[in-house]
Amino acid sequence: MTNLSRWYGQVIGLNDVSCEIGPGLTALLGMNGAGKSTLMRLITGQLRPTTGSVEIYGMQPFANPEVYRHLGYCPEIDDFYERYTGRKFIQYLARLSGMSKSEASDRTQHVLEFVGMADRADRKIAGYSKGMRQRIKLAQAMVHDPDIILLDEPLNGLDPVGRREFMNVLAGLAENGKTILVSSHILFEVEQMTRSLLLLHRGRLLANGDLGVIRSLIDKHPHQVRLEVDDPRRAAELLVGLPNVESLRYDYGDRALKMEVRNPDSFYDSLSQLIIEKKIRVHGFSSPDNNLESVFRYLVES
Amino acid sequence: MVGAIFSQALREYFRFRRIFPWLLLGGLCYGLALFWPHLIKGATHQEQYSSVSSILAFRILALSSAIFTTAIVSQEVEGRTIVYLLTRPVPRWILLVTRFAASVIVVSFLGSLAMVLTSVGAFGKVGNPLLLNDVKAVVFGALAYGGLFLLVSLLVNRAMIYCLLFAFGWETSIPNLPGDLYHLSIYSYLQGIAQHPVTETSRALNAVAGGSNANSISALSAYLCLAVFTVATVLLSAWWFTHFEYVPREDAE
Amino acid sequence: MPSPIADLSYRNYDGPLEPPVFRWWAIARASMQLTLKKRGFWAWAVGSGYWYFFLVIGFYFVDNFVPPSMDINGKNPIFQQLIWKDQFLNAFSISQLLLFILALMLGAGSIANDNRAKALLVYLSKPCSKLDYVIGKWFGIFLPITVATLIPTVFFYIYCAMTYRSYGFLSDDPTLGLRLLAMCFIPGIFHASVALGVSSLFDQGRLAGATYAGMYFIPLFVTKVMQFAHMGTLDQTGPTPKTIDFLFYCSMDGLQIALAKNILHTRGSPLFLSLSGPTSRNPMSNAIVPEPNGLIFTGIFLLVCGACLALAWSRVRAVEVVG
Repeated sequence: MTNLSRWYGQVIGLNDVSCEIGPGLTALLGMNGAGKSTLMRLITGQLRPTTGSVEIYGMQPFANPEVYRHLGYCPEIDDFYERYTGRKFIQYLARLSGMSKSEASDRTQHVLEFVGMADRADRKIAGYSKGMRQRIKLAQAMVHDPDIILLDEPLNGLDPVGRREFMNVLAGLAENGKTILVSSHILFEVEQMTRSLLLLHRGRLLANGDLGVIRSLIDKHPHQVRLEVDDPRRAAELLVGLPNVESLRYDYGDRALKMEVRNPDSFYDSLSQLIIEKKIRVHGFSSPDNNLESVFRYLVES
Repeated sequence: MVGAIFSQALREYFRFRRIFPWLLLGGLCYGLALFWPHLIKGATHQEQYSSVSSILAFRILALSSAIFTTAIVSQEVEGRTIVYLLTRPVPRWILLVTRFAASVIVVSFLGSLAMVLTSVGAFGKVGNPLLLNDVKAVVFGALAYGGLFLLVSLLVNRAMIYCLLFAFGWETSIPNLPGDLYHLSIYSYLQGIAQHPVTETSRALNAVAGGSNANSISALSAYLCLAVFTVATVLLSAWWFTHFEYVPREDAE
Repeated sequence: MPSPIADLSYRNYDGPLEPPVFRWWAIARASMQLTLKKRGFWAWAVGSGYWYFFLVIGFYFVDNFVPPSMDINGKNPIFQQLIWKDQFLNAFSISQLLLFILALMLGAGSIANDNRAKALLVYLSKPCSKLDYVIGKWFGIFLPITVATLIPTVFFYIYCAMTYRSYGFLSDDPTLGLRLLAMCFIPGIFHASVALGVSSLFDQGRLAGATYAGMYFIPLFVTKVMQFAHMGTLDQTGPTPKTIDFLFYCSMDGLQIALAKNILHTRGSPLFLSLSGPTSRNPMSNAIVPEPNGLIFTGIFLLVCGACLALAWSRVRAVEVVG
């Protein structure tokens, strides 16, 4: 994507986004209205960019059948040909992908098994649960074995077990070298899937890359470190002398030392050295803001 | 690929629930043709058939075309299933033209059925000397109306309203206007193909039938004009559909 | 341990219904707010009164350009022949197509689009009953159509009352104002009920609209045939059989015109009567089908409206994808 923008009349949906998405699983994050679906629609060629360009294998996607051979799309919408059975629906879309009848039939069976719907595929879609519908949507996106799969809010409506299975399926696909872009605003789930992310806010691309790298680059907010030790007074005395510690306090309610540190990698090195040398007994250690939610909050706030 | 699109569209259009109202309308043609001698005293079988087919069966053709052709894209957009179709490796124009072909077949079938039932009502049998020409007119009407309505459905929202206004406003009034304005109506060309005889007793109903003017369009020129019109509108539709965006709307009332 | 949710039918709220009291009005208002944003609505609504506009212009020319030598007792002879209530009836008849288009625009998707968006589940899981929903939707169609009918009628009535009092506009029928008021409610009631019934059968506004249009246009053609048959039989054999006259009113337009004729107590007169002479000499007077039996047609009207509302009532229910 190069300087990609999309306007809806006077409303801007996507504002000057430039980035590249490579193989593996990438999460597209953003609040409602951030421009996730617009970006998905631009990549899938349902919309034309107002300015800038999207290219998939060097080709513009809008109404380009050649691009669609490489691309599978699982939309957010919950609409189907309700009178069809799951199998017939997938078969039809497989035929539209250029497969012969028998090829479409075989491939349909394969993807139905892959998403765990083979035993229920001959029922009408109208009677499917939300989770079954999501699986069918994923199956139709995979039926022509595309290299790129885009999933718009695929975890919506899935139960916890279903979500876990779904995430495993996506992880499997990513391991096989597929390029997968998953949009979501449920951060803790995304975090379980991938560390690679694309963060949109009010149509702008706020961050693109590995979560850890992005977090370490947010220097406005020092990293928080939480430490549970036997003797907090002594530990505090020793820790406060470490070079990257910005602040330190003892939380009586939590019974833990809470620090704000800069340059976390260097801090962790000196911390481990200190713990060994001074024989500090540590019961618990965590970094409360080294997660997607905090990264998201920091970037959006800024 | 084309076969899959075509057979899916055909199955969808030929669902009994969708066809049933049209069968009832065909029954209405039959009933009106049967009842005609009570309305117009001394009408011959040919006049019975000619009047009812002009007044009702050709209108059913226009109505069914408006409904089935606007469904080609609008139904998918409103049902939000168009996303599945437009993100497949199939050129948009193929998608459009194939579904258009399926709709023309359904509309032709329904129009012809209305004609046949009118014939049965008027003559007491399926065949009559005017029927073959009428069926040809129905097929060309399905193509021409279909091409026009397809284009309208791609250009504007709520295309159905404009198509219905065309079918029942324009097509009933323009053929009756003085001078050569009737050339601007598809119906006049269909009458040119059908070549129904104009008789004194049916003259009173000519305004309803859209035949107040002496129609000088020959069958050959009607075929040519409608064919050119169909090709032009379908080509324009295909170009438009390929170059413009069609994404579902989110519009609960 | 028992589940904290004892009754899993919680989605259909059946607890006490607290304020706001006029929940149906909230639904009606939401529908109308959407309506008012549609440019098409304004175009068709303003257009539906076009015949009154023509009449005002026509009357102006008749008033100013008929030579005084033609006056009878100092009065314009054309205005003296005019049956005032028939002018309203004609305008009402002519506006039918445009009011139908309004109804198609407002009503066809009213429940169908909610069905598709599964919005019924949202509506009916609020403290809002099925009755609130149906009445709200009904009013959302009824009010705009009624206002679109009422405003030009009232405007023309005031114009005539102020200008043509001397020609008997007020004295010919002192209750005309009230009758017109009653007449103006007919399209709103009829279209709101029928459109709601049809809309409830579908989950796509387009299909509901198509069905509604078929129900409007096809019987309309049959009606026109009956009108010509009526004229034909008058020319050939004298009085028209009652069946033909009855069938003339058996369309959406016909039914409403039948009621309007009964409310206004008139048979009707041809358009441009005033410009072509008295009824007996007007060639179009044969096209006027006599006023039908008011009781029968009021019954049919109520039956159709009631049946459509009952249909909507039976079809409206909260649904969701099987969970």
